Amino acid sequence: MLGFLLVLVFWYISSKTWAKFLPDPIKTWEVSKEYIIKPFEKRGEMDQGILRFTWYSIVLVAKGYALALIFGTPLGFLLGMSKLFTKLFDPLIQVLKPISPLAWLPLGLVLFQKSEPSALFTIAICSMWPTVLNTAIGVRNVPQDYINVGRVLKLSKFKMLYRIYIPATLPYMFTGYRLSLGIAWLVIVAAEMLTGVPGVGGFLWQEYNALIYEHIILCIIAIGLVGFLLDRIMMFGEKRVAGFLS
Amino acid sequence: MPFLEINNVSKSYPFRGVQKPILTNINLTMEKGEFVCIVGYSGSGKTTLMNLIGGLVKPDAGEILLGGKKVDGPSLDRCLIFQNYSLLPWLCARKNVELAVTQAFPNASRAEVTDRSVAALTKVKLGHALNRKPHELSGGMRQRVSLARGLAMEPEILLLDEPLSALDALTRSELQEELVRLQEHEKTTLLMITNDVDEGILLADRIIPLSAGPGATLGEAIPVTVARPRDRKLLNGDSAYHRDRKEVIHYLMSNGPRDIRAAAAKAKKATELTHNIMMTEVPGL
Repeated sequence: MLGFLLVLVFWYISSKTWAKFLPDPIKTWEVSKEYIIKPFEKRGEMDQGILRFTWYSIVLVAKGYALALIFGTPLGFLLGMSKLFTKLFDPLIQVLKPISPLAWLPLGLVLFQKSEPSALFTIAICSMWPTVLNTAIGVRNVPQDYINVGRVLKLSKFKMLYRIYIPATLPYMFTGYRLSLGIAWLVIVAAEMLTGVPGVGGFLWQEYNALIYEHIILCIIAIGLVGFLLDRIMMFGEKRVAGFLS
Repeated sequence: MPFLEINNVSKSYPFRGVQKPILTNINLTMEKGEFVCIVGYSGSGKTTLMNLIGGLVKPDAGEILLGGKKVDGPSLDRCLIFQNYSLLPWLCARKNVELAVTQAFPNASRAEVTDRSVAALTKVKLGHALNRKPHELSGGMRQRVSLARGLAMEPEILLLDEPLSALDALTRSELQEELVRLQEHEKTTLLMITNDVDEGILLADRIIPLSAGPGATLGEAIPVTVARPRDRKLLNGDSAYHRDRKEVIHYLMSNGPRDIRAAAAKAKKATELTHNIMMTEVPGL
Protein backbone atom coordinates (compact mmCIF):
# COMPACT_ATOMS: atom_id res chain seq x y z
CA MET A 1 0.00 0.00 0.00
CA LEU A 2 2.85 2.36 0.90
CA GLY A 3 4.33 1.65 -2.53
CA PHE A 4 1.17 2.89 -4.25
CA LEU A 5 1.21 6.01 -2.10
CA LEU A 6 4.84 6.75 -2.99
CA VAL A 7 4.03 6.41 -6.71
CA LEU A 8 1.09 8.81 -6.28
CA VAL A 9 3.38 11.35 -4.62
CA PHE A 10 6.02 10.92 -7.33
CA TRP A 11 3.31 11.29 -9.99
CA TYR A 12 2.02 14.49 -8.36
CA ILE A 13 5.52 16.03 -8.07
CA SER A 14 6.36 15.04 -11.64
CA SER A 15 3.24 16.68 -13.01
CA LYS A 16 4.19 19.91 -11.23
CA THR A 17 7.88 19.94 -12.19
CA TRP A 18 9.43 18.19 -15.23
CA ALA A 19 6.35 16.69 -16.93
CA LYS A 20 4.19 19.75 -17.49
CA PHE A 21 1.76 17.95 -19.83
CA LEU A 22 1.11 15.11 -17.36
CA PRO A 23 -2.20 15.66 -15.52
CA ASP A 24 -1.90 15.32 -11.74
CA PRO A 25 -3.78 12.56 -9.84
CA ILE A 26 -6.62 14.82 -8.72
CA LYS A 27 -7.32 16.14 -12.18
CA THR A 28 -7.10 12.60 -13.55
CA TRP A 29 -9.76 11.46 -11.12
CA GLU A 30 -12.04 14.39 -11.94
CA VAL A 31 -11.86 13.91 -15.68
CA SER A 32 -12.16 10.14 -15.45
CA LYS A 33 -14.78 9.71 -12.75
CA GLU A 34 -17.61 9.77 -15.28
CA TYR A 35 -16.13 6.60 -16.78
CA ILE A 36 -15.55 4.93 -13.45
CA ILE A 37 -18.82 5.77 -11.70
CA LYS A 38 -20.89 4.64 -14.69
CA PRO A 39 -18.55 1.90 -15.87
CA PHE A 40 -21.02 0.24 -18.26
CA GLU A 41 -22.55 3.32 -19.87
CA LYS A 42 -22.52 3.59 -23.65
CA ARG A 43 -22.62 7.17 -24.92
CA GLY A 44 -21.12 6.53 -28.32
CA GLU A 45 -18.92 4.06 -30.18
CA MET A 46 -15.71 5.47 -28.71
CA ASP A 47 -17.23 6.99 -25.56
CA GLN A 48 -18.17 4.24 -23.14
CA GLY A 49 -17.65 3.33 -19.48
CA ILE A 50 -14.23 1.91 -18.68
CA LEU A 51 -15.47 -1.54 -17.73
CA ARG A 52 -17.52 -1.73 -20.91
CA PHE A 53 -14.39 -1.03 -22.93
CA THR A 54 -12.43 -3.49 -20.81
CA TRP A 55 -15.09 -6.10 -21.39
CA TYR A 56 -14.76 -5.73 -25.18
CA SER A 57 -11.03 -6.23 -24.81
CA ILE A 58 -11.47 -9.26 -22.59
CA VAL A 59 -13.83 -10.85 -25.12
CA LEU A 60 -11.38 -10.24 -27.93
CA VAL A 61 -8.50 -11.61 -25.86
CA ALA A 62 -10.56 -14.64 -24.89
CA LYS A 63 -11.15 -15.48 -28.56
CA GLY A 64 -7.51 -15.02 -29.55
CA TYR A 65 -6.33 -16.88 -26.47
CA ALA A 66 -8.68 -19.77 -27.19
CA LEU A 67 -7.17 -20.01 -30.66
CA ALA A 68 -3.69 -20.00 -29.12
CA LEU A 69 -4.58 -22.91 -26.82
CA ILE A 70 -6.40 -24.88 -29.52
CA PHE A 71 -3.38 -24.72 -31.81
CA GLY A 72 -0.64 -24.46 -29.19
CA THR A 73 -1.48 -27.48 -27.02
CA PRO A 74 -1.41 -30.14 -29.77
CA LEU A 75 1.66 -28.49 -31.24
CA GLY A 76 3.34 -28.78 -27.84
CA PHE A 77 2.40 -32.47 -27.65
CA LEU A 78 3.85 -33.12 -31.08
CA LEU A 79 7.05 -31.33 -30.13
CA GLY A 80 7.31 -33.23 -26.86
CA MET A 81 6.63 -36.64 -28.34
CA SER A 82 8.49 -36.62 -31.63
CA LYS A 83 12.19 -35.99 -31.95
CA LEU A 84 11.81 -35.59 -35.72
CA PHE A 85 9.14 -32.93 -35.23
CA THR A 86 11.36 -31.11 -32.75
CA LYS A 87 14.25 -31.13 -35.21
CA LEU A 88 12.03 -29.82 -37.99
CA PHE A 89 10.15 -27.11 -36.15
CA ASP A 90 12.04 -26.11 -33.03
CA PRO A 91 14.41 -23.71 -34.84
CA LEU A 92 11.42 -22.17 -36.61
CA ILE A 93 9.61 -21.64 -33.31
CA GLN A 94 12.68 -20.05 -31.77
CA VAL A 95 12.70 -17.57 -34.68
CA LEU A 96 8.96 -16.85 -34.56
CA LYS A 97 8.82 -16.44 -30.79
CA PRO A 98 10.59 -13.07 -30.45
CA ILE A 99 8.59 -11.34 -33.20
CA SER A 100 6.66 -8.37 -31.81
CA PRO A 101 2.87 -8.11 -32.13
CA LEU A 102 3.43 -4.84 -33.97
CA ALA A 103 5.11 -6.84 -36.72
CA TRP A 104 2.45 -9.55 -36.93
CA LEU A 105 -0.53 -7.22 -37.09
CA PRO A 106 0.12 -5.72 -40.54
CA LEU A 107 0.65 -9.25 -41.86
CA GLY A 108 -2.72 -10.20 -40.33
CA LEU A 109 -4.35 -7.24 -42.06
CA VAL A 110 -2.84 -8.33 -45.35
CA LEU A 111 -4.05 -11.90 -44.83
CA PHE A 112 -7.57 -11.23 -43.56
CA GLN A 113 -8.33 -7.71 -44.81
CA LYS A 114 -10.45 -7.07 -41.69
CA SER A 115 -9.47 -5.69 -38.34
CA GLU A 116 -11.01 -8.24 -35.97
CA PRO A 117 -9.62 -11.43 -37.54
CA SER A 118 -6.21 -9.85 -37.87
CA ALA A 119 -6.28 -8.82 -34.19
CA LEU A 120 -7.23 -12.40 -33.26
CA PHE A 121 -4.45 -13.73 -35.47
CA THR A 122 -1.94 -11.46 -33.75
CA ILE A 123 -3.06 -12.38 -30.25
CA ALA A 124 -3.06 -16.09 -31.06
CA ILE A 125 0.32 -16.21 -32.75
CA CYS A 126 2.07 -14.07 -30.11
CA SER A 127 0.60 -15.77 -27.06
CA MET A 128 0.79 -19.43 -28.08
CA TRP A 129 4.55 -19.96 -27.58
CA PRO A 130 4.61 -20.42 -23.79
CA THR A 131 1.80 -22.97 -24.17
CA VAL A 132 3.66 -24.78 -26.94
CA LEU A 133 7.00 -24.86 -25.14
CA ASN A 134 5.69 -25.68 -21.67
CA THR A 135 3.50 -28.46 -22.98
CA ALA A 136 6.48 -29.88 -24.86
CA ILE A 137 8.63 -29.78 -21.71
CA GLY A 138 5.81 -31.40 -19.75
CA VAL A 139 5.47 -34.23 -22.25
CA ARG A 140 9.23 -34.81 -22.24
CA ASN A 141 9.18 -34.94 -18.44
CA VAL A 142 6.42 -37.52 -18.04
CA PRO A 143 8.07 -39.96 -15.60
CA GLN A 144 9.24 -43.19 -17.21
CA ASP A 145 7.41 -45.03 -14.42
CA TYR A 146 4.01 -43.87 -15.68
CA ILE A 147 4.92 -44.74 -19.25
CA ASN A 148 6.05 -48.20 -18.09
CA VAL A 149 2.70 -48.71 -16.37
CA GLY A 150 1.00 -47.86 -19.65
CA ARG A 151 3.23 -50.26 -21.54
CA VAL A 152 2.79 -53.13 -19.09
CA LEU A 153 -0.99 -52.62 -19.25
CA LYS A 154 -0.80 -52.58 -23.05
CA LEU A 155 -2.70 -49.30 -23.33
CA SER A 156 -3.58 -48.32 -26.87
CA LYS A 157 -1.95 -45.19 -28.30
CA PHE A 158 -5.12 -43.20 -27.67
CA LYS A 159 -5.51 -44.44 -24.09
CA MET A 160 -1.82 -43.80 -23.47
CA LEU A 161 -2.41 -40.20 -24.50
CA TYR A 162 -5.47 -39.44 -22.42
CA ARG A 163 -4.88 -41.73 -19.45
CA ILE A 164 -1.14 -41.11 -19.01
CA TYR A 165 0.33 -38.26 -21.06
CA ILE A 166 -2.38 -35.63 -20.68
CA PRO A 167 -2.90 -35.96 -16.91
CA ALA A 168 0.85 -36.13 -16.30
CA THR A 169 1.45 -33.03 -18.44
CA LEU A 170 -1.44 -30.97 -17.06
CA PRO A 171 0.56 -28.90 -14.53
CA TYR A 172 3.08 -27.88 -17.21
CA MET A 173 0.27 -27.09 -19.62
CA PHE A 174 -1.34 -24.84 -17.04
CA THR A 175 1.86 -22.91 -16.43
CA GLY A 176 2.02 -22.38 -20.18
CA TYR A 177 -1.64 -21.30 -20.24
CA ARG A 178 -1.00 -18.73 -17.53
CA LEU A 179 2.02 -17.24 -19.28
CA SER A 180 0.12 -17.23 -22.59
CA LEU A 181 -2.76 -15.32 -21.08
CA GLY A 182 -0.33 -12.70 -19.79
CA ILE A 183 1.05 -12.21 -23.29
CA ALA A 184 -2.39 -12.21 -24.89
CA TRP A 185 -3.36 -9.34 -22.60
CA LEU A 186 -0.18 -7.46 -23.48
CA VAL A 187 -0.88 -7.86 -27.17
CA ILE A 188 -4.49 -6.67 -27.02
CA VAL A 189 -3.56 -3.03 -26.49
CA ALA A 190 -1.20 -2.97 -29.45
CA ALA A 191 -3.73 -4.81 -31.60
CA GLU A 192 -6.56 -2.43 -30.73
CA MET A 193 -4.39 0.63 -31.21
CA LEU A 194 -3.49 -0.37 -34.74
CA THR A 195 -6.88 -1.69 -35.80
CA GLY A 196 -9.09 0.85 -34.02
CA VAL A 197 -11.35 -1.87 -32.61
CA PRO A 198 -13.35 -0.50 -29.64
CA GLY A 199 -11.78 -1.62 -26.37
CA VAL A 200 -9.54 -0.37 -23.66
CA GLY A 201 -6.50 -0.11 -25.98
CA GLY A 202 -8.45 1.55 -28.78
CA PHE A 203 -9.88 4.05 -26.30
CA LEU A 204 -6.41 4.81 -24.98
CA TRP A 205 -5.07 5.59 -28.43
CA GLN A 206 -8.13 7.69 -29.34
CA GLU A 207 -7.85 9.78 -26.17
CA TYR A 208 -4.16 10.36 -26.86
CA ASN A 209 -5.10 11.72 -30.26
CA ALA A 210 -7.88 13.78 -28.63
CA LEU A 211 -5.33 15.19 -26.15
CA ILE A 212 -7.32 13.92 -23.12
CA TYR A 213 -4.26 12.61 -21.30
CA GLU A 214 -6.16 11.81 -18.09
CA HIS A 215 -7.88 8.95 -19.89
CA ILE A 216 -4.56 7.46 -20.90
CA ILE A 217 -3.73 7.04 -17.24
CA LEU A 218 -7.20 5.66 -16.55
CA CYS A 219 -6.71 3.06 -19.28
CA ILE A 220 -3.25 2.12 -18.05
CA ILE A 221 -4.59 1.51 -14.57
CA ALA A 222 -7.51 -0.53 -15.91
CA ILE A 223 -5.21 -2.63 -18.10
CA GLY A 224 -2.87 -3.29 -15.19
CA LEU A 225 -5.63 -4.30 -12.80
CA VAL A 226 -7.33 -6.62 -15.28
CA GLY A 227 -4.00 -8.24 -16.18
CA PHE A 228 -3.29 -8.78 -12.50
CA LEU A 229 -6.73 -10.31 -11.90
CA LEU A 230 -6.43 -12.65 -14.88
CA ASP A 231 -3.04 -13.83 -13.67
CA ARG A 232 -4.41 -14.49 -10.19
CA ILE A 233 -7.29 -16.53 -11.57
CA MET A 234 -4.88 -18.60 -13.64
CA MET A 235 -2.55 -19.07 -10.69
CA PHE A 236 -5.45 -20.43 -8.68
CA GLY A 237 -6.24 -22.88 -11.48
CA GLU A 238 -2.58 -23.84 -11.71
CA LYS A 239 -2.42 -24.61 -8.01
CA ARG A 240 -5.54 -26.72 -8.21
CA VAL A 241 -4.06 -28.72 -11.07
CA ALA A 242 -0.75 -29.16 -9.26
CA GLY A 243 -2.65 -30.39 -6.20
CA PHE A 244 -4.45 -32.91 -8.35
CA LEU A 245 -1.12 -34.42 -9.31
CA SER A 246 0.82 -34.45 -6.07
CA MET B 1 8.89 -77.94 -22.08
CA PRO B 2 9.60 -75.37 -19.38
CA PHE B 3 7.12 -72.50 -18.99
CA LEU B 4 9.70 -69.75 -18.81
CA GLU B 5 13.04 -70.12 -20.48
CA ILE B 6 15.84 -67.56 -20.46
CA ASN B 7 18.75 -68.46 -22.71
CA ASN B 8 22.10 -66.68 -22.47
CA VAL B 9 20.60 -63.25 -22.01
CA SER B 10 22.97 -60.30 -21.67
CA LYS B 11 22.22 -56.64 -21.25
CA SER B 12 24.47 -53.61 -21.02
CA TYR B 13 23.72 -49.93 -20.68
CA PRO B 14 25.79 -47.00 -21.86
CA PHE B 15 27.41 -45.28 -18.90
CA ARG B 16 29.55 -42.19 -19.46
CA GLY B 17 30.14 -43.14 -23.07
CA VAL B 18 31.06 -46.79 -22.51
CA GLN B 19 28.83 -49.84 -22.52
CA LYS B 20 28.63 -51.12 -18.99
CA PRO B 21 27.53 -54.75 -18.71
CA ILE B 22 24.66 -55.18 -16.28
CA LEU B 23 23.71 -58.79 -16.81
CA THR B 24 25.78 -61.43 -18.54
CA ASN B 25 24.82 -64.95 -19.58
CA ILE B 26 21.59 -65.21 -17.66
CA ASN B 27 20.06 -68.67 -17.88
CA LEU B 28 16.88 -69.64 -16.12
CA THR B 29 14.08 -72.15 -16.59
CA MET B 30 10.86 -72.24 -14.65
CA GLU B 31 8.03 -74.74 -14.69
CA LYS B 32 4.41 -73.67 -14.72
CA GLY B 33 3.12 -73.06 -11.20
CA GLU B 34 6.58 -72.76 -9.73
CA PHE B 35 7.60 -70.13 -7.20
CA VAL B 36 11.16 -68.93 -7.71
CA CYS B 37 12.95 -66.24 -5.74
CA ILE B 38 15.97 -64.40 -7.02
CA VAL B 39 18.11 -63.12 -4.20
CA GLY B 40 20.87 -60.63 -4.80
CA TYR B 41 22.59 -57.40 -3.90
CA SER B 42 20.98 -54.08 -4.54
CA GLY B 43 22.26 -52.49 -7.70
CA SER B 44 23.15 -55.83 -9.24
CA GLY B 45 20.65 -55.61 -12.08
CA LYS B 46 17.64 -57.32 -10.54
CA THR B 47 15.24 -54.71 -11.82
CA THR B 48 16.80 -54.89 -15.28
CA LEU B 49 16.22 -58.64 -15.26
CA MET B 50 12.55 -58.09 -14.40
CA ASN B 51 12.15 -55.47 -17.11
CA LEU B 52 13.68 -57.92 -19.59
CA ILE B 53 11.21 -60.67 -18.69
CA GLY B 54 8.39 -58.13 -18.56
CA GLY B 55 9.28 -57.08 -22.08
CA LEU B 56 9.98 -53.45 -21.24
CA VAL B 57 13.59 -53.67 -22.41
CA LYS B 58 15.10 -55.87 -25.08
CA PRO B 59 18.14 -58.06 -24.37
CA ASP B 60 21.38 -57.35 -26.27
CA ALA B 61 21.93 -61.07 -26.73
CA GLY B 62 20.03 -64.26 -26.00
CA GLU B 63 16.30 -64.81 -25.84
CA ILE B 64 13.44 -65.17 -23.41
CA LEU B 65 10.69 -67.69 -24.11
CA LEU B 66 7.39 -67.86 -22.31
CA GLY B 67 5.23 -70.89 -23.08
CA GLY B 68 7.47 -71.50 -26.08
CA LYS B 69 6.85 -68.02 -27.49
CA LYS B 70 9.55 -65.40 -27.70
CA VAL B 71 9.06 -62.40 -25.44
CA ASP B 72 8.85 -59.35 -27.65
CA GLY B 73 7.36 -56.48 -25.71
CA PRO B 74 4.99 -56.41 -22.73
CA SER B 75 1.98 -58.68 -22.48
CA LEU B 76 -1.01 -58.88 -20.16
CA ASP B 77 -0.23 -62.44 -19.05
CA ARG B 78 3.14 -61.36 -17.70
CA CYS B 79 2.34 -58.88 -15.01
CA LEU B 80 5.19 -56.82 -13.64
CA ILE B 81 4.86 -55.40 -10.14
CA PHE B 82 7.24 -52.51 -9.87
CA GLN B 83 9.52 -51.88 -6.95
CA ASN B 84 8.62 -48.18 -6.86
CA TYR B 85 4.86 -48.89 -6.91
CA SER B 86 4.33 -46.84 -10.08
CA LEU B 87 0.78 -45.80 -9.29
CA LEU B 88 -0.78 -43.03 -11.30
CA PRO B 89 -1.01 -40.14 -8.82
CA TRP B 90 -4.13 -38.60 -10.36
CA LEU B 91 -6.20 -41.76 -9.86
CA CYS B 92 -7.48 -43.12 -6.56
CA ALA B 93 -6.52 -46.64 -5.47
CA ARG B 94 -9.65 -48.19 -6.99
CA LYS B 95 -9.26 -46.37 -10.32
CA ASN B 96 -5.60 -47.41 -10.51
CA VAL B 97 -6.64 -51.05 -10.21
CA GLU B 98 -9.64 -50.58 -12.51
CA LEU B 99 -7.44 -49.30 -15.31
CA ALA B 100 -5.49 -52.57 -15.17
CA VAL B 101 -8.63 -54.71 -14.90
CA THR B 102 -10.26 -53.06 -17.95
CA GLN B 103 -7.14 -53.89 -19.92
CA ALA B 104 -6.89 -57.48 -18.69
CA PHE B 105 -10.62 -58.19 -19.12
CA PRO B 106 -11.72 -56.10 -22.10
CA ASN B 107 -15.12 -57.80 -22.23
CA ALA B 108 -15.97 -57.28 -18.57
CA SER B 109 -18.88 -54.99 -17.74
CA ARG B 110 -18.36 -51.78 -15.79
CA ALA B 111 -19.77 -53.38 -12.62
CA GLU B 112 -17.58 -56.45 -13.02
CA VAL B 113 -14.48 -54.30 -13.39
CA THR B 114 -15.34 -52.48 -10.18
CA ASP B 115 -16.11 -55.73 -8.36
CA ARG B 116 -12.82 -57.32 -9.34
CA SER B 117 -10.88 -54.21 -8.36
CA VAL B 118 -12.56 -53.85 -5.00
CA ALA B 119 -12.04 -57.57 -4.34
CA ALA B 120 -8.32 -57.31 -5.10
CA LEU B 121 -7.94 -54.26 -2.87
CA THR B 122 -9.86 -55.95 -0.08
CA LYS B 123 -7.54 -58.93 -0.40
CA VAL B 124 -4.58 -56.68 0.39
CA LYS B 125 -6.53 -55.12 3.28
CA LEU B 126 -7.23 -51.82 1.61
CA GLY B 127 -11.01 -52.10 1.50
CA HIS B 128 -11.21 -48.94 3.60
CA ALA B 129 -8.98 -46.84 1.35
CA LEU B 130 -10.54 -47.42 -2.07
CA ASN B 131 -11.04 -43.77 -2.89
CA ARG B 132 -7.77 -42.42 -1.61
CA LYS B 133 -5.18 -40.98 -3.94
CA PRO B 134 -1.65 -42.44 -3.77
CA HIS B 135 -0.33 -39.36 -1.94
CA GLU B 136 -2.87 -39.99 0.80
CA LEU B 137 -1.52 -43.51 1.33
CA SER B 138 1.57 -44.63 3.22
CA GLY B 139 4.46 -46.30 1.39
CA GLY B 140 3.31 -49.74 2.47
CA MET B 141 -0.27 -49.05 1.38
CA ARG B 142 0.93 -47.90 -2.03
CA GLN B 143 2.91 -51.09 -2.39
CA ARG B 144 -0.24 -53.03 -1.60
CA VAL B 145 -2.25 -51.13 -4.21
CA SER B 146 0.44 -51.98 -6.71
CA LEU B 147 0.24 -55.63 -5.64
CA ALA B 148 -3.57 -55.58 -5.89
CA ARG B 149 -3.29 -54.19 -9.41
CA GLY B 150 -1.16 -57.19 -10.38
CA LEU B 151 -3.37 -59.74 -8.61
CA ALA B 152 -6.55 -58.35 -10.15
CA MET B 153 -5.19 -58.92 -13.64
CA GLU B 154 -4.89 -62.67 -12.92
CA PRO B 155 -1.81 -63.10 -15.10
CA GLU B 156 -0.18 -66.43 -15.86
CA ILE B 157 3.06 -65.26 -14.35
CA LEU B 158 3.55 -62.56 -11.76
CA LEU B 159 6.92 -60.84 -11.83
CA LEU B 160 7.46 -59.27 -8.45
CA ASP B 161 10.26 -56.79 -7.97
CA GLU B 162 10.82 -56.57 -4.21
CA PRO B 163 7.09 -56.19 -3.68
CA LEU B 164 7.13 -56.46 0.09
CA SER B 165 10.17 -54.37 0.92
CA ALA B 166 8.33 -51.33 2.29
CA LEU B 167 5.83 -53.19 4.46
CA ASP B 168 5.69 -53.65 8.20
CA ALA B 169 6.34 -57.17 9.50
CA LEU B 170 2.67 -58.01 10.04
CA THR B 171 1.36 -56.89 6.65
CA ARG B 172 4.37 -58.45 5.09
CA SER B 173 3.64 -61.87 6.49
CA GLU B 174 -0.03 -61.57 5.53
CA LEU B 175 0.89 -60.81 1.95
CA GLN B 176 3.47 -63.58 1.91
CA GLU B 177 0.64 -65.93 2.80
CA GLU B 178 -1.44 -64.44 -0.01
CA LEU B 179 1.37 -65.20 -2.47
CA VAL B 180 1.59 -68.80 -1.25
CA ARG B 181 -2.20 -69.11 -1.62
CA LEU B 182 -1.97 -67.71 -5.14
CA GLN B 183 0.54 -70.36 -6.11
CA GLU B 184 -1.42 -73.18 -4.46
CA HIS B 185 -4.94 -72.33 -5.57
CA GLU B 186 -4.66 -70.24 -8.71
CA LYS B 187 -1.61 -72.12 -10.03
CA THR B 188 0.00 -68.80 -10.78
CA THR B 189 3.69 -68.93 -11.62
CA LEU B 190 5.60 -66.50 -9.46
CA LEU B 191 9.04 -65.05 -9.96
CA MET B 192 10.02 -62.76 -7.16
CA ILE B 193 13.07 -60.66 -6.48
CA THR B 194 13.98 -60.11 -2.89
CA ASN B 195 16.99 -59.21 -0.82
CA ASP B 196 15.65 -61.15 2.12
CA VAL B 197 17.00 -64.70 2.16
CA ASP B 198 14.51 -65.80 4.82
CA GLU B 199 11.59 -64.56 2.75
CA GLY B 200 12.91 -66.60 -0.16
CA ILE B 201 13.15 -69.75 1.96
CA LEU B 202 9.66 -69.22 3.35
CA LEU B 203 8.04 -68.80 -0.06
CA ALA B 204 10.02 -70.29 -2.89
CA ASP B 205 10.46 -73.73 -4.38
CA ARG B 206 13.90 -72.68 -5.54
CA ILE B 207 16.18 -69.80 -4.73
CA ILE B 208 18.49 -68.47 -7.38
CA PRO B 209 21.25 -66.17 -6.20
CA LEU B 210 22.33 -63.29 -8.42
CA SER B 211 25.99 -62.33 -8.20
CA ALA B 212 26.99 -58.71 -7.70
CA GLY B 213 27.37 -56.49 -10.75
CA PRO B 214 28.74 -55.29 -13.06
CA GLY B 215 28.01 -58.16 -15.36
CA ALA B 216 25.92 -60.00 -12.80
CA THR B 217 24.89 -63.55 -13.51
CA LEU B 218 22.62 -66.11 -11.90
CA GLY B 219 24.18 -68.79 -9.75
CA GLU B 220 23.16 -72.41 -9.46
CA ALA B 221 19.57 -72.79 -8.29
CA ILE B 222 19.26 -73.87 -4.66
CA PRO B 223 16.15 -75.99 -4.08
CA VAL B 224 14.45 -75.14 -0.81
CA THR B 225 14.25 -78.33 1.18
CA VAL B 226 12.00 -77.08 3.97
CA ALA B 227 8.73 -79.01 3.75
CA ARG B 228 5.45 -77.24 2.93
CA PRO B 229 3.32 -75.88 4.46
CA ARG B 230 6.04 -73.76 6.01
CA ASP B 231 5.43 -72.09 9.30
CA ARG B 232 7.53 -69.02 9.95
CA LYS B 233 7.41 -69.64 13.69
CA LEU B 234 8.87 -73.11 13.36
CA LEU B 235 11.41 -72.18 10.69
CA ASN B 236 14.14 -71.41 13.17
CA GLY B 237 14.07 -74.90 14.63
CA ASP B 238 14.17 -76.59 11.21
CA SER B 239 17.55 -77.97 10.24
CA ALA B 240 16.60 -77.85 6.53
CA TYR B 241 16.06 -74.11 6.89
CA HIS B 242 19.55 -73.57 8.30
CA ARG B 243 21.10 -75.72 5.60
CA ASP B 244 19.33 -73.81 2.80
CA ARG B 245 20.09 -70.46 4.33
CA LYS B 246 23.78 -71.25 4.70
CA GLU B 247 23.99 -72.34 1.09
CA VAL B 248 22.41 -69.12 -0.25
CA ILE B 249 24.47 -66.87 1.96
CA HIS B 250 27.63 -68.75 1.07
CA TYR B 251 27.02 -68.12 -2.63
CA LEU B 252 26.23 -64.45 -2.09
CA MET B 253 29.27 -63.89 0.11
CA SER B 254 31.67 -65.49 -2.32
CA ASN B 255 30.11 -63.77 -5.35
CA GLY B 256 29.50 -60.38 -3.82
CA PRO B 257 31.05 -57.03 -4.60
CA ARG B 258 34.82 -56.85 -4.12
CA ASP B 259 34.75 -55.46 -0.56
CA ILE B 260 32.32 -58.10 0.64
CA ARG B 261 34.36 -60.81 -1.01
CA ALA B 262 37.43 -59.53 0.81
CA ALA B 263 35.51 -59.48 4.08
CA ALA B 264 34.38 -63.03 3.47
CA ALA B 265 37.92 -64.18 2.81
CA LYS B 266 39.10 -62.42 5.94
CA ALA B 267 36.34 -63.99 7.98
CA LYS B 268 37.31 -67.39 6.63
CA LYS B 269 40.94 -66.80 7.52
CA ALA B 270 39.93 -65.68 11.00
CA THR B 271 37.93 -68.86 11.58
CA GLU B 272 40.84 -70.94 10.37
CA LEU B 273 43.08 -69.05 12.72
CA THR B 274 40.87 -69.61 15.74
CA HIS B 275 40.58 -73.18 14.65
CA ASN B 276 44.37 -73.51 14.63
CA ILE B 277 44.71 -71.84 18.00
CA MET B 278 42.08 -74.14 19.38
CA MET B 279 43.90 -77.08 17.88
CA THR B 280 47.21 -76.08 19.38
CA GLU B 281 45.94 -74.89 22.68
CA VAL B 282 43.40 -77.48 23.52
CA PRO B 283 45.96 -80.23 23.98
CA GLY B 284 47.95 -77.91 26.21
CA LEU B 285 45.05 -77.57 28.57
